[in-house]
Amino acid sequence: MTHFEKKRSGQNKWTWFCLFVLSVYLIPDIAVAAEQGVSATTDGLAALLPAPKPTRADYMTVGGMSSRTIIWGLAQMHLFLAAFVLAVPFFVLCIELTGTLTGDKRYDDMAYEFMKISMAAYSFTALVGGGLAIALFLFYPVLMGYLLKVFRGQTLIYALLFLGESVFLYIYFYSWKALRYGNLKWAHMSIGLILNTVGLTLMFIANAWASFMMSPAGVDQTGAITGTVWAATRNPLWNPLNLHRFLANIAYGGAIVGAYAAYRFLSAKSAEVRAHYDWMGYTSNIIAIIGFLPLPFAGYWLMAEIYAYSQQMGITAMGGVLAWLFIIQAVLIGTILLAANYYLWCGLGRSERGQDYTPYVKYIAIVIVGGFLVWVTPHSLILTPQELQQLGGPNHKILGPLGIMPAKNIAVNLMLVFTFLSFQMFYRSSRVATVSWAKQGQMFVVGLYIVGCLNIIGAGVYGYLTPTVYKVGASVPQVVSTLSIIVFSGLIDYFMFKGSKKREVRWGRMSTRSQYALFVLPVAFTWLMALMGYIRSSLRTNWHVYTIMKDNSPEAYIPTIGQAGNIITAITLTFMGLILFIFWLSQLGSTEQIENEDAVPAGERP
Amino acid sequence: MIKSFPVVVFVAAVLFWMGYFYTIDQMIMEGQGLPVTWTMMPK
Amino acid sequence: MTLIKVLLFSVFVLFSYTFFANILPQVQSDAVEEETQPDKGGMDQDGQIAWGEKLFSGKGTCTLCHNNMGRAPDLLQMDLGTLLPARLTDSRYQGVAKNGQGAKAVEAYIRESMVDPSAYVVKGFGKKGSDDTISPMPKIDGPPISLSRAEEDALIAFLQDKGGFDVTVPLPETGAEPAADGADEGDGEDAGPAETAESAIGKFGCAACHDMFGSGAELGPELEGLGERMSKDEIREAIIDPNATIAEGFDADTMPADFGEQMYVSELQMIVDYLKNLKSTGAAQ
Repeated sequence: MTHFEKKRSGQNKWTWFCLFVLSVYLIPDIAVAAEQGVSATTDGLAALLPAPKPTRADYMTVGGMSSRTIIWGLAQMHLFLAAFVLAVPFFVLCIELTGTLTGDKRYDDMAYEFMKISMAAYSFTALVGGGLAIALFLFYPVLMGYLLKVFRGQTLIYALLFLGESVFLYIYFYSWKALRYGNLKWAHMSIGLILNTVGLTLMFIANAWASFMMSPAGVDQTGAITGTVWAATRNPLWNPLNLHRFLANIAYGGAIVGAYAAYRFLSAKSAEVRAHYDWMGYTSNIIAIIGFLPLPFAGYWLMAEIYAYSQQMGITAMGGVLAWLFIIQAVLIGTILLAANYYLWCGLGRSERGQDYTPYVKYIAIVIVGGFLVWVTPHSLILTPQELQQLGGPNHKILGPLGIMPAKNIAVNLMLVFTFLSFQMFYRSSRVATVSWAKQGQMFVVGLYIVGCLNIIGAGVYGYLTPTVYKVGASVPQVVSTLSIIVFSGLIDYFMFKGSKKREVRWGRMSTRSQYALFVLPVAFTWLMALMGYIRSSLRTNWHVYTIMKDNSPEAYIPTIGQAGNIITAITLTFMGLILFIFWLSQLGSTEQIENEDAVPAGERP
Repeated sequence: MIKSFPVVVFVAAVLFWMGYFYTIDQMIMEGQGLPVTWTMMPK
Repeated sequence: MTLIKVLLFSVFVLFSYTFFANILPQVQSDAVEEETQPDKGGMDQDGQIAWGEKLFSGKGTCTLCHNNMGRAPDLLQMDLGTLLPARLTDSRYQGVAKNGQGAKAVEAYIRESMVDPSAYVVKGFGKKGSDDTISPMPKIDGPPISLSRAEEDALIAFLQDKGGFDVTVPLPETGAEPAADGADEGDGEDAGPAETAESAIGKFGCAACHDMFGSGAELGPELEGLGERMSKDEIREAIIDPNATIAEGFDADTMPADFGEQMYVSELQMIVDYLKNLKSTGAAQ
């Protein structure tokens, strides 16, 4: 390319990028402006009616089935699928960008393959969503009628956005090979950016309805609509829910495509294909971890906002009827972290240098397992009356204090720090630093870990010595410490290993044992999501819309954990079956049968 | 991995990070409306 | 094949979660019972105190925060007999029972803490960052707790008795209608909002206490010239939260506090507008 051509294509690239970033910002602006436009309702005082109060007769049952369970199943399936189809385009775009900037073709091929999986899932998402909508109107018409009144025009915008999502999804996928290089590639990525914006807006709108039911805004205390749609949308729990779901989607999407990679790895026939899927599994695991690490912070913010909105709601969650659920959550997150870490440790075997790190693995394992045990320890024990008498109370003298917040926060923050350490070790296992300040840089990283961990432990112990408000407040320094360790050691490493000597990583050299981890990860994630959804819905106790519309249905109670566990497992199994079907579909899509030969998936031809 | 290290740099690094964490701890607690003394205890 | 083994392992993990969930303590949280109005045959004081105790851990959801976990004062463990009078003489306390003594003052203090928790926040229990001026406690006469007047009285009776004070609240009236929201009685018929301000005022019986339309009632303050004395917001507050500001010479807890729930918004609007336009006739009272 001549100098002139280079310059021109460079300028074009950035012009395209700016143009499309601008247009991308326009979409939510248009949506919001439209909302303001359609919010004019108050033509006379007669329109200011309070929310309807449904009576038992207003609830329909069909065939003696539990309406609540039907909605639960449909809603949860929809959330699983929607989380997946929203997350994939996000990290696909990131991977595509990485591929464009580094020039490494493997990234682009992997991004394309991820999109293929997502495409198959998309229609199921829409199907289940439609089923959910029908079921909601069938079983809870009064509530839905009211919600539609509150959100009026926004629901139409939601429907239109689905059209947009489909259009951009199909164009993004089908134009992949056509818009492959140069400026066209940037145009393609811009389409991906618009796709992500539309998807995110869809999620934000749906989140507004869910969070409105928990913390209503834009209405007065009787439920009469006194504000705009934007006021109802921007209720106190909207943004914490947005952030939490955005991050969790990424982690979840990564976990699921990791399972896909494991599935293909285990059924691969040639070493080349094995290497490809091993690398894909590694990348997926990294995406899952990156999405996962800031999640506790987002979850904490969500809980803090719930407490700020209504202390009662907050305590119902953590100190009341739902408290035991957080112990199950600990078990699940422990599983997830152990699986993610185990996979990384197995991965160390891929390189010579990596094997040097294996002695350190046992220390990380001790911290992760130890942290998990602390986290899973409840404050009050399940005891028979005789045991209660013997122990002198419901709390164990020594282990009891491990059951409250300061200890739990120490545990979880340390688990996250050490998970990142696993990742950092793996990152370094294929690189040898060549910068002059490598030794000094190392000192700073080690110092950071030591002081940071001491800070986390110290802030936790502090919680035992101070009043409640300070105890709760001390959890923020803990999270910031974790984030600091991750960000700063990541930054130091990035600069320290610039221009490093690359050591060979033998992709494909991975035990089959490790693939168990890649499967358990999404299974645990799925169950965890459903559990958290159960908690979130139950926080409303017997209200459809908290403090405004009471739930007068025959099922206005919070089911026991056992019942919930059974339902969650049933939904998870269904989802697992569906996902396997989707994996099989996307593999089928590239299977070819040549005349007189057997059908074989792409790349497997001997 | 780490056979021998220059102690001075290590100590400097530890002091640096101690300063960093102390500062942000103070800032975070004050920022949440929880006044603390220089020993981080509630006022 | 390994894939099958991996799938079986995943299913095994799933079932272990289910198993774990089933061995934990199973608690089913039922919908909060509506006010269980005692038998129409009447309730004696012991019955009222027992009812209050039931409400404390039941519909009132007090024990959610008032326990030994430090979120709110642990009322069940504390010595209310010395504690409550001490609150009344606290320098930071500026509420309705300031410097009051005796059981009646204690009653007023307890009621105030229930319906207007931020009037006085005990040191160390305020919302984070509010320097103990805002209470995290919800108003218990509104949703989601929505205790009725009789239930409030029962709770106060329980706490007074616990602190060794005389019980100064009235017993619930026999034959009084439960104040539960009409929904649970299958009450679907709703006459709809009143059409005019005058009919709304008649519907809610304002003239029974305030001198309106020639009723001559003096239980509540003069409303003439209200529009010149108060803003619309103040008038609205006076109707839906009458205990927020008490007119000089009148007592708290006289005007019903649940108009906010009973009125349509349009009715409230009409009444507020009507009262805002009430000019003083200049006649001496």
